[in-house]
Amino acid sequence: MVAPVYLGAMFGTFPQSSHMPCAECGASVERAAANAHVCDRERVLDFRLFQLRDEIGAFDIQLTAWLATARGRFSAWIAERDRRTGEAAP
Amino acid sequence: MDVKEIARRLTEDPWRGKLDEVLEYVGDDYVAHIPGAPEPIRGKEGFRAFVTSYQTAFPEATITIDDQIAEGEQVVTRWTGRGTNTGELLGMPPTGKEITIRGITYGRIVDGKAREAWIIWDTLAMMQQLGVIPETIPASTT
Repeated sequence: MVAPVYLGAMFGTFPQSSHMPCAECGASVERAAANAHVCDRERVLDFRLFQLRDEIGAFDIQLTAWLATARGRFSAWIAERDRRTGEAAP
Repeated sequence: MDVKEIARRLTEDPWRGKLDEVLEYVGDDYVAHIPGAPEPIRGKEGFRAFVTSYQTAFPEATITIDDQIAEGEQVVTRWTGRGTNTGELLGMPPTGKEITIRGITYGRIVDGKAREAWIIWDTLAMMQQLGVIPETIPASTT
């Protein structure tokens, strides 16, 4: 490929954004300050929850479907029995 | 109101919940030229649709003005936009990533209303930050 070589000769490097989102928390970080960036823990959580939004959204549907199965109904019965007797699983 | 203030309101205020208010400063004959767009943006509804499409993708974004110069009817505004991509953008699913991009708007304002604009922003940086295109290309593939 020829074009990137010409671009490199003209600009020194392929044009790069001055900011990039942190891979851990998604915050916009200036490249020059990337080494000094410290993720905010809540932001990391929000970012990861956002990446898993489809799975989270499907959880209730999947749980409901599983509870309707024979194994699910039995597990629910066991859990209720243990709750009443005070012997809930650790 | 001078052209700089009108340009400021058109640039910043839609992102402060004042989109309907700033349409007062958009002429019915408004035309905005955006590189890469198949058609220019036209009129108040075109302006609204354009801003709304990006607000859908970046609901809590802000645009701040870095500098302005003006002469007669022309005003140039250099700005920085910052927001988190939590909505669909141009058919692409949201990424949850925060981006920072810079742009310049060259506008023509007559009788208190924007009539024409050329809006250019760092689309390459936006796509790189969203992860749609790579940050770098190898120096040589031979």
